[in-house]
Order: sequence, then C-alpha cells, then structure tokens
Amino acid sequence: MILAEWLLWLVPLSGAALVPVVSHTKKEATGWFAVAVASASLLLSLYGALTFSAAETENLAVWLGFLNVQLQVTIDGLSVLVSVFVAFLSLLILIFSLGYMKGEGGLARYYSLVLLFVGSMLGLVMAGNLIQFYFFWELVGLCSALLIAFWSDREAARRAGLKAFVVTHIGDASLLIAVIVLFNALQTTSFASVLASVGGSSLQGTALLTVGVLIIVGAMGKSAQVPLHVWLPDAMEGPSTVSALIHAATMVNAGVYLVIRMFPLFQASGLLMDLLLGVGLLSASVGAVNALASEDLKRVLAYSTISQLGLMFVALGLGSWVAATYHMVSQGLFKALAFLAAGSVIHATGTRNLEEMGGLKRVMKYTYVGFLAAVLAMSGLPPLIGFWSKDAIVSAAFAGNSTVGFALIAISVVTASYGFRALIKVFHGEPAQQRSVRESATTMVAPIAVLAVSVVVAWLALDAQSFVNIGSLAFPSATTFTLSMGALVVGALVSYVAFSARPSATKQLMERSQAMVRLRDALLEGLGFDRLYNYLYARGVKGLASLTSKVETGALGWDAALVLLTLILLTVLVAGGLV
Amino acid sequence: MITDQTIFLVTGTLLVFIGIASVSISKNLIKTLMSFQVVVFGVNLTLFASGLGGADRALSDAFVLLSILVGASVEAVGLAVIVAVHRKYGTLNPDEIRRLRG
Amino acid sequence: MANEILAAGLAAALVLTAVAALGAKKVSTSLIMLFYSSVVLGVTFTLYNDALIGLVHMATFAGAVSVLLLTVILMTGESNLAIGGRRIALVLAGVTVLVVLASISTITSGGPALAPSQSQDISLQVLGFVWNYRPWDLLALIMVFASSMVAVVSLLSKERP
Repeated sequence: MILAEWLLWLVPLSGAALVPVVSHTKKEATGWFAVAVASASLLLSLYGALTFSAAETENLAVWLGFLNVQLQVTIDGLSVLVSVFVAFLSLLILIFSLGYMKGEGGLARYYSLVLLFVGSMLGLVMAGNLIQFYFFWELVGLCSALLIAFWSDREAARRAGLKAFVVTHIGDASLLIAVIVLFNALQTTSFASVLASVGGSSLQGTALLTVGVLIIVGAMGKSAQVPLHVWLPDAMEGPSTVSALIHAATMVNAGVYLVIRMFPLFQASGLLMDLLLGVGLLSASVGAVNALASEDLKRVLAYSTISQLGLMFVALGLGSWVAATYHMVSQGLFKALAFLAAGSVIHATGTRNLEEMGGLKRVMKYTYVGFLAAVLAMSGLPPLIGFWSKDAIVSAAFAGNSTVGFALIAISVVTASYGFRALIKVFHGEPAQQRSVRESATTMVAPIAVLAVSVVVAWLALDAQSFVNIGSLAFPSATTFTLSMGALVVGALVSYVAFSARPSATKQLMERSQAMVRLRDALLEGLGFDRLYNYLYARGVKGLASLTSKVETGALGWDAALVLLTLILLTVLVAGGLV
Repeated sequence: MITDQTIFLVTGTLLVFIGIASVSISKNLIKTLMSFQVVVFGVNLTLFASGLGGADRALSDAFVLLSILVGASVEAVGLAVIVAVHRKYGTLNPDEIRRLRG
Repeated sequence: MANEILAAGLAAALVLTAVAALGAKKVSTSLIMLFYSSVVLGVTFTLYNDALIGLVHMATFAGAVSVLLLTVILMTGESNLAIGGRRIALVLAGVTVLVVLASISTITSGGPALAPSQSQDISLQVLGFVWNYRPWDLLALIMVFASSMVAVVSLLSKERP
C-alpha cells in the first residue's frame, strides 16, 4: 500500500482532533503542534511526488457498498502536484499564523479548524471517486465558513460566514445533483470509470450536457465565479491567514481542480467549453474592474482572486488544461504571498483602508519586497511564475480566437493597474497615519520571504519533468510576448501617473466628473449583485413565507386538525384501494 | 368475516381518530395530553391485533412494548412541558399561547 | 362466537370509557375514566394470552402515567377541563362514521393491497439491517427513556442550565 498518499491527508485530519487536547495541556504549544503536523504532511507529499512513477488508483476498503463506493486515492501527476502545493502553502501560512494570531482568543478552535481544512483539502485532491470528493468538498466549505466567522463577536464576520456558506451551497447542491445523475446513468462514481465512459452510450448528448452544466455551476460556487462570487469579497472579514490559505490558494481552486479532473467530459462538448470560456471571461472582467475601485486592501485582493480564477476558466474553455493547472499553482503562490504581506501590513497599521496607509516601504522592507514580488508576478513579469502561466493562456487564446486574446490583454492591463495601485497606495508616497509602524515579527516575515523567493524560482521546479508529469510550458509566441509586456507597461504607467506622480489631479477627476462618481459608486457596490440577490430573496422567499404562514397559525388545535384531515384522507384512499 | 381480530383493528383505528380529533378541539393542554394517551391506546391495540390469528406474535409483542415505552416517555415529557408552560404563561389554553406563528 | 362477543364487549367498553374521558367537564371524571380505559385495555391484552404486555401496559398507564397526570393536575391547579360545546359531538360523529365506513369497505374487499414488494430496494435493506441488529433495539429504548427523563427533570427544575 502506498502509505504516503494515504497518510498525507489522514495526518492533518487526526491532528485537527488532537489540537484541543494539546491546547488543554499546554496552551502555547498549540501553534507549534499545528506547524509540526503541517510539516509532516508536506514531507509526506514531497515523498509521494518524488517517488511517483505511474498513475494509479488505489482502493482501501468498501465504504458505501450499495453505492459502489470505496475509499480510494488517485495518484497521478495532477494530484501529486496539487497536494505538494497545498501542503507547502499550508505549512507557510501556519508559521505565519504563529505570529499573526498571537494573543488572540480561541486559538484551539482556529488551529483545529485550519488543520481540518488542510486535511479535507488534501483528501479532496487525492480522492478517487466523486462521493469521496464531494464529502471533502462539503468539509472544506464548512471549515471556510467557520473560519470566516472566526471573530464571532463581530456581526459582520458572522454574516459573512453565513453568506459564504449559503452561496457556495448553491453550487454544492448543483454538484450533488450532478453526482446523482452520473450514478444513475453509470452505477459508479469513480473518476476513472466515469471518464472512460464519456461519449459512450450512457453518457452523451443531453445527459452529458446536463452533468457538465451542473458540475460547472458547482465549480462556480466554490471558485467564486460570477454570479456566485458575492461571498468572496465579504469573506475578507476573516483573519488574513484564513484569506490567504482558503480564499486565495486552496479552496477556491477546488472548483477549477474538479473541472480539470473531469476535463475529458467537458472536452466532449463544444457547448460546455463555450460556457467555461464565457463564465471565465465575465468573472475575469468583473473582478478586475472591481479591484481597481476598491478602497479596502483585502477586497482588492479578493476581487483579484475572482479575476484570476476567471482566467483559469478561460484557459479550460480554450482546451489547455495544462495552462490552467499551472496558473492555479502560480496564482496560489503569488496571491497567498500578497495576502500574507497584506496581513502583515494590516497587523502593523491596524487598518484595512488604502487611504490610511502610505509610505510603508521605508519601515516594512521585507513586507514591501514580498508584496512587490506578488504584484510583479500577477502582472506577468518574466521570469516570475505568473508570466509563464498567464502567457500560456493568452497564447492559447490567440491560437484559437483573436477576440478572446485581445480581451485577455485588456484584462491584463487592468490587472497590472490595480496591482500597482495597491502597491503605490500602501507602500509609496507620504505616510498617512501618525502611528508608529514597525516591521512584523520573524515568524511573519519568514514565510513572506520564502514565498517571494518561490515566486521567482518556481518556474524551474515546474518545468522539470522529473518532478511533475503534466506537461511543460513553452515560451510564448512573439505576438503574445509583446502584447502582454505592453499590457504590463501600460497598466503600471497608468497607476504610476494616477497615484504616484499626480495623485491630486486624480482625486479631482474622481470627485468632479459625474460619470466617474457614478462609475465609482457602482463599482464600490460590487456592480449590484448583492442588491439582485436581496431583491430575489425579498420577492421570492418572503412571498412563499407569507403563503405558508396562512397555514402555520401557531395554534395547536389547527395543526392537530390538519393531521386528522390527512389521516382521514389517507385511510379513505387506502381502504378504497386507490393508493 | 368478522373475527375478533377485525373488531380490535377497527376499534384501534377508531380510537386513534377520536384521539386526534380531541387533540385538535381541546381547550386545555391537559385534555390534549389525555387525548394523546387515547391515541396511544388505539395504536397499541392495533399493533396487538395485527398479531392475533396466527400471525407473528413475537413481532407484534415487540412493537407493542416499544410503543408503550415511547408513549409513556412522550407523555412524561409532555407533562413536564405543561408544567413549564403553566409557569411561564399562567394559562393552559393553547389558543392563548400562539408563539410559534410561522 | 363467544370470542367475538367478548371482543366486541371489551372494544365497546374501551371506546366508551375513552370518549367519556375526553368529553368530561370535570377533571376528576376525566382522570378516572382514563384510568378505567387503561385497565380495560390491559385486561384485553391479558385475556388474549399475553400476560407480559398486559402487565407492562397496566403498570405504565394505569400506574405511572395516571399518577403523573394526577400530580400535574394538582400542581397546576386546573379543575375545569372544559371543551368546546357542540363541536365535539359533531366532529366525533363525523369521524366515527367515516372510519367505520372505511373499515367495513376494507374488510369486505379483502384487505388493502399492502404486500411488500419483492425487490431488494435500498430502504428494505437498511431496515433489515437495522432490525436484525438486536442490540440497537435496547440502545434505542434506553436512549429514548433516558432523554425523556432528563427532559422531565430539567423542565421541572427552576434553575436555568
């Protein structure tokens, strides 16, 4: 039995159960225990990656006999790569948490939830069949909601946690229906058998289309694509470590991971590919423009995540799943880096508002370097990792359909623009607050440094065929290269001019021009998606509730009388042989 | 063919219906609980009668025992609820205690 | 024949005492009639060669539950168990007619078609598993009993947990 691949997700799950015990015996050791568990997981996944020889699925035991479900792990290039990536990020973020969450209450709850999340995410990545996958999918959603609402005495945090839970559940319900339909058609849920029967007699035409659309909706819920993206900006109420781990790098990638895993199913239908492409483009644009307007540092990064995930969906819609996988890894790395740097800044200055920060580059040097590396990677500067994956997607776009390619270039301009805007507003310029700010503790700076280095050199590891057996990333074509470099330069220049060279003129423009004011208000409101949902709720759910309140009178006698009526009806029907 | 089994089945069903009807029109929670007890009687009699006449006696015995136990437990809890309701609202008329409006 | 007359007599006594219990205006009448009906039912069980459940039934209902009812009535001081006036007569009459009609039609038509299907569908498998696993019965019974006792004690105590 291949021990490493089983243990790497069982160890954090059992660690999560042991955290309260450790916390009870010795409170200060809780964080270090979590770090130890995460490092064990990382070592196991690295061992699994280095000894990986051939793709296989291994069964352990029968789990649910009547559903033909066994406890399985899938071991192939994809799962090995993503498991190493998840374990690596989890370890770094847990080390960061040691410093960031120091002195907070409820640390046992925090660490056990984070370890539960890590175990479930790894279990999701290594799952061999859809039922096991769905089980861990729900678990990560639960951990995410609970961690968003970690500071449960704040009402905004509680509402954000509930909102995340409800909105992702729309996607989860859709995925469950897809699993049921698949099981109905094929009597099996293991990935290998499902993918083998794509195009066969039981899985083609409308059945294939239904399953595909339902899975895409499920992925949209978890990966925060429009219109199910409304939970992610509000999820920033949680601690920054949670945002870095869950809402930048791992859980939001679960949706993309599902689509990649079931990719032959989507490739079999042109309609599904177009749907992926459309959803991705829409989310990429909505996320990018919203990030440009936001005043809250973490919300900028949240909308940026939505945008980058949209790019992954675009890659999938174009058929290049290799580019999507690499972008998943690179986005995870530089976004987690950005969130950790943001966490360090927020911890030091005590505010999340961009207007209240400024000039921090002299004081927080390491954090500055980290955030700079993240912004450069996001904008696509070679040889940082963001360059390779983003340009692979853009090349694929130009190879197929030039309009999509130009749309992606436009989105890249906005991406570079909001990245540099955040950088300039936080770190450059004059300090906007009087409070003295210092660089953060070593436990917080070290992971930032490690991630910054990895963002620069990771392309070496990903390209080496001995480590990962997916595919390689070629250097992009000349058109793509020039266009994306141009996009980077234009975006950076726009932000530089607007916010660094002439900040007062920009402010005047924003306040004078009616069109700009209205645009800005619309963007700050998130383009009205929240209002749409509230309206649907007010009309739909409340209407139904007023209908049922006519029956639910609250008087005991009425309810019993209804029971009696039903019983009489049933007796008459059964006795008369009608039922 | 009217055997004693059918007689008991009919009376059991009748008791159930009488009990539920009484639950819905009673103006006093204690009367409600007594009506519930009549329903339990009806259920027990029906279950017992299903086991007469050569059918599986052991199975129907087991069901009756289970039903007695559950019925008695529910009544005990119901009585405790009645006491608590009386302490809090001062009245035992269910029409005056309509806090569970949907 | 004697069997059926006995059965009919017992059934009639049961129904009469139950209706008397539910229709009474004074609480003492109600309680005593309920007690009588528990006794009648226990006697019925015993006469049909099932002393065990007859005994358990009488001990529970004619014993414990009646005493509990008495206690609660004394605690809350209710003495007037009025019910709605003519409505009860109408409702009960209507219900009785319907039930008797339904039962007669069932009996004469040979019984309802309630034969279990032969297919081993999932609910039957689960039920079979649960039912055959006897220790679960005991566990379930103990859990129901214990939780109801806890609920009773906590509701009756005046302290908030």
